[in-house]
Amino acid sequence: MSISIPSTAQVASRTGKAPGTGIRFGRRIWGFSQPLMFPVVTVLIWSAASAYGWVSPQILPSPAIIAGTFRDMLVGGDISANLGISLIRVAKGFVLGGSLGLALGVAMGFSRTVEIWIGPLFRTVSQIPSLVWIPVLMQLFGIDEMLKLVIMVKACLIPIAITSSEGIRNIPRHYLEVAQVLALSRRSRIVKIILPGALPSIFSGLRQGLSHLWVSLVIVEMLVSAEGLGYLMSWGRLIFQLDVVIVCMILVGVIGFALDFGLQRLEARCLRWRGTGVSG
Amino acid sequence: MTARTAWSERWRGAVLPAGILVLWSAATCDGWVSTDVLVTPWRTLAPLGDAAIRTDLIDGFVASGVRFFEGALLGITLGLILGVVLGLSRRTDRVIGPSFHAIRQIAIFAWVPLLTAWFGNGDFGKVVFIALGAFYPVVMGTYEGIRGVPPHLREIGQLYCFGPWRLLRRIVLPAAVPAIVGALQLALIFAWLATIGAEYLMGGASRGIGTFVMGGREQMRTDIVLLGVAVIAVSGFLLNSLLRAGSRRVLRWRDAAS
Repeated sequence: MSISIPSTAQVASRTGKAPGTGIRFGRRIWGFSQPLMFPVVTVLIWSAASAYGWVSPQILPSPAIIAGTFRDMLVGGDISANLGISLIRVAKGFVLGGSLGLALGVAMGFSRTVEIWIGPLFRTVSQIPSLVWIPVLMQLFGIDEMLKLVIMVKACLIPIAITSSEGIRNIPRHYLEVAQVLALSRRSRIVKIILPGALPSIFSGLRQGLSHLWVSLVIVEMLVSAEGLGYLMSWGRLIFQLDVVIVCMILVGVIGFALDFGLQRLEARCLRWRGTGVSG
Repeated sequence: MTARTAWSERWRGAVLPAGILVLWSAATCDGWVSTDVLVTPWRTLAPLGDAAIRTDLIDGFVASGVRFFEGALLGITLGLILGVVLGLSRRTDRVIGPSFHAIRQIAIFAWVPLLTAWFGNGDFGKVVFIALGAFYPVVMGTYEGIRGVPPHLREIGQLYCFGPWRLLRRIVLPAAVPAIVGALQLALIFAWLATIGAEYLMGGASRGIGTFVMGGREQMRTDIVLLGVAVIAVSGFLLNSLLRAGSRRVLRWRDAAS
């Protein structure tokens, strides 16, 4: 806080509105504190409920216990071991599913023949969510690493293929006209016009695919796995250690957010040429 | 595109599925794969001949349907309330909004262990989970619908000296209807997915179409698994088309007006 006071004052003096500094500073603090009110009040009530024994710690462990468990799991290596395994799975699945999805999407986007031959089957299969497929895939591939890989690939391949093929097909007409005017070769038309033009859709597909992949991995790990974040969570439930469960839930949220945020940064970097209007 | 090329294109689109079907039949008939892993395509319907399995399937489907409606109703009601409140009151939005979006980052399926600990793995726990699945899209859609009401529409209401209640009922909500309809459509699909997911993940004593499938898996009855998954897939497909047709019908006034 001691850091932000001079900076506000500086800004205010530069704009020559010194009299309003106090009010503006107060407003700024108010603006920051509003979103914090709800979590703070929740944690206070929650702590009070645990301290006064309104709820059993078995049903709802206090925030302090959860923080302690988090520290123990972090120091003890439970988190790093299981999270590491989950993240390696994510990397494998995303590399494989992402490249297959891009290849399929690019093929369907560029070639009408490919679209005619495999489009209908692809769209029918993509109508059925990955979750629904899980029991069938368990029959086919057993319950080992292969199952996880197949489900992750399926989960991220479909949105990536759909959006990238649509992105390629829906390139703004004037982009293509520019290519015609400049008499670009087929190769440079694809590399310089079509792929960059489709990049925003490709990125939205990649982000959607990665988030689907993460969710389906957590589901599969909860269902059948002996390691990984989802396993840790269902194990915590089994021995009725809800502090472990809640720590894992928070991690699921944080990792999901971080994965998406990473792709968003990458997107912003790759699409810098578009100038303003790109979120990130 | 003429009708003839459309036909030939459709034929070509059917080649690949047909090929897969042939390969599947060949693989199972000639014993390339064990019948524990995969059964012949036509055997998928065979369990229907068994009266006990048939009742199991039908009862499970009905039980899942009931649960789906209960959970969706609960989630949509709560979601509409929170969405309207967040959309109308900027102060509530500033206080609760960020927390809501932070919690939303947790994939709904990650709630399953906690919810089963709190509400059991019977009907009630599942309904709560389904409600959670329907809740998020409704909140988001309603919120965005209300926020997106063009200011000039509100100004018309102020011109007519509408009170806040009348403004809400006559102007804000009708203008937000398209967004809300879209949100409800999404919420029902999420609720359906959560119904299946709850039954896969929670198991438990209660019946359901997902429980039917998982039961078949435990007995290594691939035919039951395939049959159940086919029923789930078809029901999802029907729900989807029904919702699309329904929303088109509800929003006809808008398309007619524009």
